[in-house]
Formats: sequence, structure tokens, C-alpha cells
Amino acid sequence: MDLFIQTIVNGIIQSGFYALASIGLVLVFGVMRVVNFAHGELVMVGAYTVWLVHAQHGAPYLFTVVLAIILVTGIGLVMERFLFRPMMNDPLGGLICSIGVLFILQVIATYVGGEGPSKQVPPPFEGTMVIMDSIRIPYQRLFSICVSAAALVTLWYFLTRSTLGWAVRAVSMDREAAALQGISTVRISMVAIGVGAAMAGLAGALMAPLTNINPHMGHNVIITAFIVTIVGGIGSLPGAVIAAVLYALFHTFVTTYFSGTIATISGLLIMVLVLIVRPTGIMGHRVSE
Amino acid sequence: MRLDVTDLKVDYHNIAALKGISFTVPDGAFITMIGSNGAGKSTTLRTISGLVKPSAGTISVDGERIDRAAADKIVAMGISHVPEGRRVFKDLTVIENLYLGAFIYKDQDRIDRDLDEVYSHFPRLRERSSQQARTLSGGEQQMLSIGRALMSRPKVLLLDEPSLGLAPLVVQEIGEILQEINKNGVTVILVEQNADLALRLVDYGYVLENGRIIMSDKAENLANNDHVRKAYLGV
Ligand SMILES: Nc1ncnc2c1ncn2[C@@H]1O[C@H](COP(=O)(O)OP(=O)(O)OP(=O)(O)O)[C@@H](O)[C@H]1O
Ligand SMILES: [Mg+2]
Repeated sequence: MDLFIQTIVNGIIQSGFYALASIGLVLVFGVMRVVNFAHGELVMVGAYTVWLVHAQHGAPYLFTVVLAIILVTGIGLVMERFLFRPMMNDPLGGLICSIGVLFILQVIATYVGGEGPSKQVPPPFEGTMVIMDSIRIPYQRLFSICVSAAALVTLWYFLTRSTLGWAVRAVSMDREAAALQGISTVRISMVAIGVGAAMAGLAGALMAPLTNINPHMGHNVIITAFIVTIVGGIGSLPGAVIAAVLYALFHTFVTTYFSGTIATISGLLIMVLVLIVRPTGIMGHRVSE
Repeated sequence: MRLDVTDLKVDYHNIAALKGISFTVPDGAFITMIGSNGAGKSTTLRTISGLVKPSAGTISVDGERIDRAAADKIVAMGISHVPEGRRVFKDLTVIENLYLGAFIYKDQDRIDRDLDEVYSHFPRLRERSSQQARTLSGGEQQMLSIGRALMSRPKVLLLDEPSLGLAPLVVQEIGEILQEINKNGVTVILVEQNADLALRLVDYGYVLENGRIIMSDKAENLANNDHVRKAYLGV
């Protein structure tokens, strides 16, 4: 029973990270109709920033979190300007370019951090909160779920309460109709990739003290982001967040009781199942007309 | 605002959709362009609003060329396009759709006054202001699409088949509102297959066939023209 409750708690903690890491993929696909394969590497760069600047050179952790966000946002904006914008009418071209970026970022990470074993960042927040003698939440994880939740709530308000947020959603619903309202699709693309990359950088920086850091850690991120995006409904932001929570719970349970590999494989199977049964995802609307 | 189109040509992958059309719409006029499927009506409007780039010819408003400008910049010049098929933002609410119509403005007081004016044209939109656009009926979505266009304070309003798929009563209602909008000084260009409706509303009309203007005249003359009567009025 204790293991069960602890697993739920772990799953909830994990879900914030999954949602943060996935949302950028959804945003960029929604607005630009391009799959950014390098999205997982953006998370990786966020984690490396914390490892390099905080763990190796002793800068304060929170400072490096902000630094990671700024750096990864910058990479996202550069990708938009020099890859996705010129490839605007060629989704396949954009996808191939993003795979190129994936390799480039991996090579840079290998160059900076060297080959060899995965890197660890000692948790800046030490200690563990114990609830009812049995449920244990390390403060580092508590910190990461609070920050993820705050970031997601802010994003939610932005998308549902601000004119710019409506414009982002309008572009993802109907580019032409959005342009007819005077909305610059280029500007909105920058907003989407900027926000998505910032969230990816934050996710990487929050995960750094909790995971193994290596140049290939983006693989797991992109697989998770794919599953969450497709199960939630391509282009549906509320769907992605809900799917992230559900998938995190599922993944944590299967990992705890079976193994991580089985968890990922069954996650992919669920994705295929959703594609067959309900291709628009759990929250997506059926395409009308 | 006066609109001049000169020798406009549009190609889609080397297939000519517009083969050189010219027309002038004086400031404050209400004109229609009628024609059957594939005549080039939507292409004409889409080129004016910047969604499609012409291969030749010019478009200008009050003497200023707009044919090279991007769609989102043309809105700011005072031209607003109500596209074929309504194209409202279905996952957004009515009021969010309307606020996006005013995306280029920041003066919230004026925006809210415009909103009131749109609501006075279409009281049903006020009742449904917090409803998702996808839940509106076809006629209500058309009203929303027109209302959204009005929020950008157009001097020229382009409408692409607003009557399509709507009940006669709703068509009548929308027609009267368009006349009202025109009386407030907005130049209106109405594209229609429903020639009967269009010719009753406007001052002047153009007949488009195969990417060419084959006829233009005062609305009452067109309505009495033999070719128009046979081809477009079904009499
Ligand atoms: N995106 C496109 N690609 C290729 N051809 C197109 C495209 N859009 C329109 N056309 C062609 O251009 C011609 C004019 O089309 P247009 O949509 O302007 O006609 P329309 O008068 O609006 O017709 P309808 O009354 O059916 O809406 C047609 O032959 C059409 O097939
Ligand atoms: Mg048309």
C-alpha cells in the first residue's frame, strides 16, 4: 500500500516534467506544422547548462536555471529564423533540418562534456520531506514540481486569457484566417518556439539534479513528448497537459512494478492504439467539414 | 476608400485563374461580383487581401499600391476580408474571436465601443459571447465572421459568399446589415453566386467568367440583362 501511494506521488512529480518537456513540441507543431525532432536536445542543453555552469563551475543553481532558459530560448529562435522560416511551406524539409540540429547539439554536448559515464549534478536542495512516516518526497523533487506547475499555470493563463495567447491558438487553428485579422504568423511562430524552448530549457534545468545527464538523454524526452502529443491530440494544448499527467502516472507505475523498458514500450503501444481508435487524440476535436 | 484593380493576373502553378481583370470601386460604393463555380471570385478577393500574390497587374487603395504587401499588413491599411466558409476560430469563444478582429489595435476603450456596435448589428452574438464558436449555427458563424471583420475598422469590406448554406431569412437579415454598414461609409465588395440577392443589395455589379470580367453595369441593368437572367437568375 505504501509503495502504491509513493508511486502515485512519484508519478505526479514526474508529470510536471513530462508536460513541460512536451508542450514545446505541441506548440511548435500547432503553429508551424513542423515536427521539431531536436526538441529533446533542447531539454538536454538545459540540463548540460546546469551541469557545466553550476556543478562544474560553482555558479548558484537558480542562476543557472535562468541561464538555461535564456540559452535554450535563443537556440529555439535561431532555429525558427534560419530553418523553419525558410522551410515554411515544406514540413518535411523542416523535419529533416531539425534532425540535423539534433546531431549538432549532441556533438556539441559530447565536445563540452566529453565521452564517458553520464554526469550527475548533486541536488542543490538537500533533504527529504517525510509524510506520515512512509511517503518520501526529496525537496529537490518538491521544488521541481512546484516550478513546473507554476510554469504550466502561467502558460495556461497566457493561452486562455491574453490576446497574444488567443492569437497563438488562432494561428494553429487557421493560419490564413489569422493573417486576415492582422496577426503576423512569423511573429506568432517566434512566440511559439520561444515559449516552447523556454519550457524545454526549464525542464532540462529542473531535471538536471534528478537524472543522468548525457548527450543522448533527449531520446527519452522526444519519445515521451511524442506519446503525450499524440495521445493528447496533435495541436491540442489542454490535451497535451492532461495526457502528460496520465502518461506520467502510467509510466511510473509500470516502471515501479515492472521495468522502465516495458513502460516505454507499452506507452508506444498505447500511442499506436490511440492513433487507430481516435486519431484526433483524447481532447482533439474531430475535423469537421 | 477607393479601390483600383488594373490588369490583374493570378496563376496557380501555371494555370491561369485570373486572366487580367480591371475594375474600380469608388469610395463608399457597394458593388458585387457574380459568377459561377471556379470563375475566379474568391481568387480576386484573396489577391486583394494579400493571401495570394498576383503574377501581374496592380491593386491600389486611394492611389497607394498594396499588391506586394503581406496579408497581415493589408488589414492595417483598412481592408478586411470575410473569407469563404466563414473561417471563425472554432475553439475560441465568440468574444475572443471578436477581440482578435481588433488584434492590430491597443486602445481598449475604442475596441469595446466597436464591440458594442458589432453587438448592436448582431444581438445574437452578444447572447452567445462566451460560447465556443464551434457551437454556433451556420448563420451565427457567418455573423461572427462579419463582426470579426468589422472589429478591424475597415474602410473596404470584402465578403466571399456570405449567403452560402444559410436559410433565406438569415440571408435577408445579413443583407440588410451589409447595407447598413455601407451607409456608415464603408466600401463593400460582395462576391456571390446568389445573384438574385446580390443584385438587390448593390449599386453596381461585375460578371466574372473564366477569370475574365465579361460584363459590368448598374445592378438593375444586370438584373434585366438576358445573359445574366439565363445564367445566374435561373429565369
Ligand atoms: N489553391 C489553388 N490551387 C490551384 N488552383 C486553384 C486554387 N484555388 C483556386 N484554384 C482554381 O482557380 C480557379 C478560380 O477559383 P476561385 O476559387 O477563385 O473560384 P470562385 O469563383 O470563388 O468559385 P466558387 O464559387 O466555387 O467559390 C478555379 O479553376 C480553381 O480550381
Ligand atoms: Mg469562391
